[in-house]
Amino acid sequence: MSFVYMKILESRPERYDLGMSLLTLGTLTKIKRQIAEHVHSGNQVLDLGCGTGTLAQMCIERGAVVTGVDANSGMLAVAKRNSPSANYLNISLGNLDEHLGDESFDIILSTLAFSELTRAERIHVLKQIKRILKNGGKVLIGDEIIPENILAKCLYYAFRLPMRLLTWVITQTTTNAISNFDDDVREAGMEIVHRKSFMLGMFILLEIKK
Amino acid sequence: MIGWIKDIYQTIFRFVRFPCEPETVAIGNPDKSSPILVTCNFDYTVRHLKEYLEKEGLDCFLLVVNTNGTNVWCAAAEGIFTAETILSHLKVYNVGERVNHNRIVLPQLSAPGVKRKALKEHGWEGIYGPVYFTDLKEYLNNGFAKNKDMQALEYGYWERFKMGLSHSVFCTLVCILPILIFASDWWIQGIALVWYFAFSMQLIEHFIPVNRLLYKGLALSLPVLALLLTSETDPVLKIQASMGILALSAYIGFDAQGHSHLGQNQQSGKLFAGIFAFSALVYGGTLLL
Repeated sequence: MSFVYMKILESRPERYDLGMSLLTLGTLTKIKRQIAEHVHSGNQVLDLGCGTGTLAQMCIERGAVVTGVDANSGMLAVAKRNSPSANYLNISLGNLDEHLGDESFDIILSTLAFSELTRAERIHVLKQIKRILKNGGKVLIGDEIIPENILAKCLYYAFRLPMRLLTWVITQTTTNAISNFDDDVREAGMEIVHRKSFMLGMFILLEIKK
Repeated sequence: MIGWIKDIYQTIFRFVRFPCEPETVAIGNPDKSSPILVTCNFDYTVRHLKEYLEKEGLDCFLLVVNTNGTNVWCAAAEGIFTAETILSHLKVYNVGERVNHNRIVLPQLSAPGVKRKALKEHGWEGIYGPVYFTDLKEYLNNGFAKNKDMQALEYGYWERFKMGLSHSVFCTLVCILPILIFASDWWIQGIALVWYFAFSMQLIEHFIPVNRLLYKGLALSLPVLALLLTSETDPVLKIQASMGILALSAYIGFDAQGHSHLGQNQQSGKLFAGIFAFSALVYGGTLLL
């Protein structure tokens, strides 16, 4: 790989938020704000795939105690600057069982992390979430999906492909869309209790309970 | 046919990631004692590795670990192919339930990223296999024993050619805009120079008796400069073109660190910046003439 390009890739976490805001036309920030509204003072919050720590910081500002998990050490370095009060774990989402105890969090959050995983990984992580979540706690997942409506699906491909290219130029990364996420949640033994769509159904915010 | 087309564009654009689905695949008819092989989800490698294993009739489990499409060597160096990612994969795909042993064969080029001690702490014994998967049959048949040839990393002309092609395409993408701006009348020659430098940095660099790739790039500019200075009569054009050639050769030599087996820590950054600044200043000065 080109040496100069490798150096550009190394600085990718610094540009991640800009690229994702552009790709989602601000929707990601909106989803994060709506997720944060569920958080109350004193809540134990787990942010899976916390990335650059922007959502962790929103939760901390509402008085929560936040633990951020991310496999990417570069992202965590930026997160530690953005939200220094949070605790961080540099682990893969597949290894949550070794680091987090049963029923230890009130709220478990995730934005654009599940779309990075394969179906087997998603189900494994959802089962871990069920174990880690306190009884009466809630899971809030914001992610990208492929819309089911045919017209929306056409718009999705027409709009997303050029936006993905532009985002790739800025951040050398992009997002993937999940399909059949409801089935994954059911297979993990949990239930979607509320669903909200954004950008013609391209993004969803799910509230899930045990 | 589709595989052949994929090979071409994945070779040319190897600076782009080409992921395939992470999975645990049973190759042939493996049983509980069959070996477990590990690789990354770089589509090019996975397709060829599967093809080889099936052709040789090797019964095994192949773990295709998620590195977002980055190859083994780069993923290990980037820290995204680690004991942590392998342990996560072993867990998600319940690999332990499919075998009666704890031995996993790692690609030798994963050594910079995969800590075997961490695997051992979780009950898995990681052993490094041969550098090239084409030695896997002999390696497995010899009871996981490697001879010297299996440990040697070759950088033959075919590999150099593929690297040269990829590097030429990448450098063209980087340089096309500056060439069109600063040498619009000479853009064909400019792109030809990019390909000359990028290919030569792979195909003949080992004949140039200096260590740093940046110096090798500069050495490659000497015949081009000689040709220019003896054939061009306009003194301003001579200086401008010389500065362009100098900057181009320095950039491609410096950038080749990421495309080379010679390493990426050659401490050439300051020198490269100096040459680039000098070329820009002299070029800028000629505009005042």
